[in-house]
Amino acid sequence: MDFSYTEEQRELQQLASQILTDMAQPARLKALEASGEPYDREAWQQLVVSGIHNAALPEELGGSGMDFLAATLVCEAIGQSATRVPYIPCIISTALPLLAHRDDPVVAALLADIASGKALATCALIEPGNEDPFSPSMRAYRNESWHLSGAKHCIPYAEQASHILLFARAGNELWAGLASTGNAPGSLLLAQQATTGEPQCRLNVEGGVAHCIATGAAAETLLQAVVAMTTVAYCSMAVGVAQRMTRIAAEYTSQRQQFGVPVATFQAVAHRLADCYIDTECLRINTQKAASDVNDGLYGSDAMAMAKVWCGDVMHRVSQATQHVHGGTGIDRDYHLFRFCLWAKFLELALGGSRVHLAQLADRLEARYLAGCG
Amino acid sequence: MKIAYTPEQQALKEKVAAYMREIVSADLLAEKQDPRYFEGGGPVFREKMLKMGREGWLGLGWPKELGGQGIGPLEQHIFTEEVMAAGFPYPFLTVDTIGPMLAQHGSPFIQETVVKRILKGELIIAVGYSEPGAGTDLASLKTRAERDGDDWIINGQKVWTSLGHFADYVWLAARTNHDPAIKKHKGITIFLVPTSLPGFSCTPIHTLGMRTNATYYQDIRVPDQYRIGEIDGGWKLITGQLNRERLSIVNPGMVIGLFGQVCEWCASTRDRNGRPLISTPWVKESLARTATELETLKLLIWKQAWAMQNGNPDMADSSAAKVYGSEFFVEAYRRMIEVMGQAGTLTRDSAGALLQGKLEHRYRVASVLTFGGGTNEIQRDIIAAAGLWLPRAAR
Repeated sequence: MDFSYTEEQRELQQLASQILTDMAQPARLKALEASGEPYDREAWQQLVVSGIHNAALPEELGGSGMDFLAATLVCEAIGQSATRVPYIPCIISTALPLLAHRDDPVVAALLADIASGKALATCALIEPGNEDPFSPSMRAYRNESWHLSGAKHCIPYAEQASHILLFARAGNELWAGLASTGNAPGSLLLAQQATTGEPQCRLNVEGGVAHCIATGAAAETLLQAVVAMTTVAYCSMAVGVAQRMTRIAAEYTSQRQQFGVPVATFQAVAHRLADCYIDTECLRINTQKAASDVNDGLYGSDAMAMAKVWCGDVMHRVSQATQHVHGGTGIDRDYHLFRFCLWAKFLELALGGSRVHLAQLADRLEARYLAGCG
Repeated sequence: MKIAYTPEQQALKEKVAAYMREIVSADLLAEKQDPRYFEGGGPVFREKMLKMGREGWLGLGWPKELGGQGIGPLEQHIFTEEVMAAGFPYPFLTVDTIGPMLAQHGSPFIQETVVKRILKGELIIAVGYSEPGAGTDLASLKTRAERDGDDWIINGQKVWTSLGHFADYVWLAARTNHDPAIKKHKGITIFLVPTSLPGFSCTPIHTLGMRTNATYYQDIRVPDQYRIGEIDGGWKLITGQLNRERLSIVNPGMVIGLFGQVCEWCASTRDRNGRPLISTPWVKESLARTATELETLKLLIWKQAWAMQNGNPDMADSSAAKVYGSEFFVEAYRRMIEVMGQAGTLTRDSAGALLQGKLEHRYRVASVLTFGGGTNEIQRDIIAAAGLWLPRAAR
């Protein structure tokens, strides 16, 4: 049992945090948002040049060979600054799970381009009307090469990425592969606007060509890795968001005076923030447990679902509480809290809200006790 | 970071669980049915404590130089969790909170006559802090100790002295300095008062869930060798003991034990359509939420024990664990009795009582936890100040 991070992991987090916090100056963010830029290219470039974006990729790809826990700390730092960078879709959801398929030359070339910062890739996990990543409706079929038919949506950074990792059904088997995002015949990307402001797309594909990475059990394993790593990454980002929202509210209520005293001296206010602190610690410890499981190659553990239950609940509660103790200031777009609130809603719902994961836990608990081995 | 038991810790957990199945015997369970012995104190309980002491199971995590086995707070926690999961009325205040404080701060006389006997399972010690006029504002306590030669003369009254009716000693906070110029928490001293001394008496307070006591101290002559720590230096012993108590009272062991039994009951009980109760959507979802929150408590307490092992538990995090744990217990008992329905309210002596009426009893006991060991309002104040650096209100 060890709850500590290594010196190297801490340094990575501090560096990421410093770079992203420095760049998250309100005036700069406001100008960026007004410019219509889909994401913070400059911040992403900083993560690339300082060796953060590929820290968890192996050394032979130019990375630092750090583990998954290190990558979760980068996600936490991104949450603390609410920066729009493609770290989770590109590195966590796509590059890290694909490391197991490096002997595939197409995958190897893509990984090399991601590691050098030359290309972005992303991953499509949900479909219109179907949010269960494990039961895709999209079909893959073979006709000399592999073709796809169906739709995916809410794909982050699809217009910026060179490839989309996606999963489909090939007969009775799961199929995993890469679709290019260029103007391929038979596939169409449609821009979607998400609450965070991050770029997302819907992909409609009717006979478009794709590259197959794995089928059957190997594809199942890859998908489990993608979902586990992405879920834990969202939870880690949520830890950063919750911590920062609570910090912002603590600072504001310590300064803001009413009736001649700081409003934080009212127990009703202080206790609401103390509850945010407790919530954040509960989310953090569940996230760390889930990350520890994933780091040990244990995908889809109860701990992962439990972390996502906490993620959904804590994002909602901390967002509402911190807005509330600010009064109108908290929702003013000239003040910085709103960016975190937007992320809070996204992180609450991405890859399943609290009730979705509770229902899964409930089914597993029922099955265990009915089998007589609780 | 690796959040899982080591193989050694897993082995210890299984070893303790097997041992406790032997300790929690039919005669102990029968004795626990006697309302006088709900919380321990009966002859079978005493015998089991002696056995556990003799076989070296008490003070597992105490340092070796204090007579323990020195295997660390995490292992001590694994032990306590299993002991409580087994349903043993473990005197955690004595073994896990006062014992280590005495081992650390007691004189050679105390080490010899008290600490060694705690490790042997021979002693029960009650806590004497609260008074009719001093609860959350504990430093305003009025029980006084006056120096008289080599002795102290103690006068006063304490309330909520749990286990006081069968305790061998009371860990008592008394005022020894009446100088109005000094801060009131700087005039308090801790004494270990033998309950066998003339002038000690005890009357029951029957609460919603259990018996506790009012204890009276009338001209008790206590030799100075029963003073713990410095004269007027009691406050840091009180806070030290309370820090340990907070973690002990949110030990998840008992809920782990009961939750498993409730899930098994839900799996083996059929509804009127012949379906297992655990297959009812709201039942399994309620159980899943309880499981999620229970795992969280386990993790929070593991982290506290780990931090203790590494020397530095964070003050805000200890308070957060206490608030979270106590409020979780109240909610967990509610949900567990809820799945049983109205039959869950049948008491242990009744025909048709479910799980021996354990939950009917536990829901009545649980409410003490949100204010016992330092009320949750004070814990949230601590979190606001130590965890969020909020300005304190004038008080």
